[in-house]
Amino acid sequence: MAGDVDGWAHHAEPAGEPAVIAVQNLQMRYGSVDVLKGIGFTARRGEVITLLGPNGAGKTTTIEILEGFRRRSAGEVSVLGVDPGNGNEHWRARMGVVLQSWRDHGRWRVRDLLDHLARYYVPYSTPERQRPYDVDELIQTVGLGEQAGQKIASLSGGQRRRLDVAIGIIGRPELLFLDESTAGFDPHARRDFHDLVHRLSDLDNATILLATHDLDEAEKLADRILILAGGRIVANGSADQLVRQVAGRAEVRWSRGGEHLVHSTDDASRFVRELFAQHGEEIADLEVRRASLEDTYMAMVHRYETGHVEEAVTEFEGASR
Amino acid sequence: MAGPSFRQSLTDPQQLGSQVFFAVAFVIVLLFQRDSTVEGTNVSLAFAVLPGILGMMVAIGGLQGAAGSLAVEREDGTLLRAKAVPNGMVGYLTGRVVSVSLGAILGLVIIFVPGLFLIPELTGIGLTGRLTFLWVLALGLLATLPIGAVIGSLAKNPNTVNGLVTLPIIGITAISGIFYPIFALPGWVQVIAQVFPIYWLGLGLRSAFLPDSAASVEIRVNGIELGYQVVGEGEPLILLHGGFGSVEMFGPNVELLAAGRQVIGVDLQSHGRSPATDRPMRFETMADDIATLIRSLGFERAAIMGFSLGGAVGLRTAIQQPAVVERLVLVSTVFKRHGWFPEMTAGMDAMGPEIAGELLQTPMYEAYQRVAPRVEDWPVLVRQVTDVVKVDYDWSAEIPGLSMPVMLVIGDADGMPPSHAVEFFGLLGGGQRDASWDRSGMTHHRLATLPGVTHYDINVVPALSAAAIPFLDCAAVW
Repeated sequence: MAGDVDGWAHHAEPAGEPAVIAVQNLQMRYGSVDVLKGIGFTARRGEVITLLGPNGAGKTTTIEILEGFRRRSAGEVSVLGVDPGNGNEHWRARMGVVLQSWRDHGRWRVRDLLDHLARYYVPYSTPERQRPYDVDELIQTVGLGEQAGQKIASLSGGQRRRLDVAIGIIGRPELLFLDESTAGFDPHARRDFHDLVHRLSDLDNATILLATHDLDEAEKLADRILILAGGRIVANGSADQLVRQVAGRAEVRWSRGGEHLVHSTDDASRFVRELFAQHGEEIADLEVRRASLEDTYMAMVHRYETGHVEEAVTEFEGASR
Repeated sequence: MAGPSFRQSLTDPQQLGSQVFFAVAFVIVLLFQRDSTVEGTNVSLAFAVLPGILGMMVAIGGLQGAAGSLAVEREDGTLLRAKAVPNGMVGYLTGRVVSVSLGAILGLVIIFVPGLFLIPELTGIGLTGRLTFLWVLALGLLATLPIGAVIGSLAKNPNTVNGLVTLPIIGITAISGIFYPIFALPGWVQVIAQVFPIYWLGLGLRSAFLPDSAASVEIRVNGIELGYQVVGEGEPLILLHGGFGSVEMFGPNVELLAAGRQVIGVDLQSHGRSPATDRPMRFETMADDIATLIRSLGFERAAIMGFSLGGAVGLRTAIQQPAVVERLVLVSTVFKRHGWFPEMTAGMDAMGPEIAGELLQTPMYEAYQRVAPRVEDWPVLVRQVTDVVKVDYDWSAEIPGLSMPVMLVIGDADGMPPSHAVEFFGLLGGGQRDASWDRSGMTHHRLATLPGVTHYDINVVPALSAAAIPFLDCAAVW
């Protein structure tokens, strides 16, 4: 199961180029609770990967391990060619981090803090990758031009998140971690943020790992979606691939002689053909509904939340195969 | 990092508030204390407690500053932010150390500036004192910041920091000799106090501020421990108190004498700062203690000034170890037990260990309570003193052999008739003939009778040092 998913991920990777992130059989255990039960995936240069899953699925734990903020229980992890447990400052300078919530430096002014943090990246600038970004340019890019002189504590929730994103990318990262970064964004801010992510990956060739429980965001941004549930990666592929994978089963509804009937099938075309062959004109109100990614995902989340974790994982894996 | 970070912490009303609160509270304390003096000295109480207060401020600033900011910033993500940036932790810690240090120094300034007006002695601190102040301050921050950081990391949330830091600091301060000498506390409490930096900060800053006084030391001689205090600079003078007392017994005379010399106020066996010992108290053994002490302190010889029981010890030191006694001042001292008035000897005969309780109301016990390492040893001291004063002696045969200059000082209403002092003076060779115009007929010994002075106040009247100082200062070759 996990092996299949893993193989699939490797399959998607072009030969020759080393992976920016390579994870094998990663496990994490808090006390007696297994949060990650052996996950594996890789990420290429410039790739945008979404880690999708319900709250508590282990997304943040995975990201924190990759960032080097948390020690893993077992497994092989390589981030930018280095084990995150042993990453040095040079390694640290190559990545950007935007965590779930930050309330720090409330009494600093927006531009002061960004300028201050930008200075830490100056020693790591290279001819190929100039670090850091120009502070004022970046403030404009994230749409905080009017707030540059404001105290951080006075920013709105959305403005605060934009600042967090700006701080995350100030060092022109080769790898950017975004954890629930658009929570609290209005639709406009979300659109701007998505543009920014695309720009980073297209123009700067940055690899982006984005954790979210927002399916829409995952579909819009990701080159590849990893669905994390019950401590395992239960699906790994592009949004299209996943929809195709899970959309195999369809629901056929019709009525005959005033009676409403429902049938679930793997091959809707064949079932409908046979239905007409058998009953002809008696069939009315025909409706064929394919299960969407969202349907399946929601069902999985529901089962997860009601406690049928293993069941949900297994079923979802079955559906995605 | 340091600049903006300090600016932030300065504009943090909570962090600044606690510093200002403590500082203002202490300024008020100083305001009330400025007119009182430390008992037995002319040092103002405010000046005496100021170093301790500053030490406490450094400790509060260092501990609370580090613990508080770390606890808050661990919660709000500042620390994680620092971790996410290359070299961010180094930058964060540097900034914090600087800002917490500057914050603590700000607290000191708030106390120090009004202090300059309230406490005139402050302006008199010399260069050495100022330098000592700076390095003790730096060392204090160095010691308290990491402890604060550890507490800040252990605290579950910023509010528990107050419980973990402020209350213990107040408790530790109470036992650290900031407001009264640590010697007044039981031994095990002293040990606890000495584990924490507040005690050492107070001690260090006291030595910076009061370089001439209040530096208490203990030394081991002849198998017992003697506590002594050094005040002033110059030629050494060993000052020996009377029975049941300690060096404080000399009142203002300590400072008056110290103005021209180094006064080493020794507390005799089982007295004052010297821990009680079960060795029987004898003039002869105590005299050996003093001789050993003089040598242990690195002096070839020293002047000795003793009062009553201390005078007898001084006299025995001169008889037994003349080489270490440069000159001798004997205040209210007899060379034989029967030199005292009969009612004095009768009183001594009647004294027994049972008077320990009665003596609890005396200034002697009050002083003992303040300086003794173990207050409960008071009865041991009383038993030993009441023992030794019953010992009969007559050292008249050994007096004529004394080669060093000796000065006798009595009150005209002392515990012995003036005639005894005259007899003593005669044994020394004094008062035998007319000195003649060129003073060729006089000896190097002196005799002073202070008018209107008794055995019970001769030790504190300034006339005592006024009489002794010309004798002590006299540089003539004998």
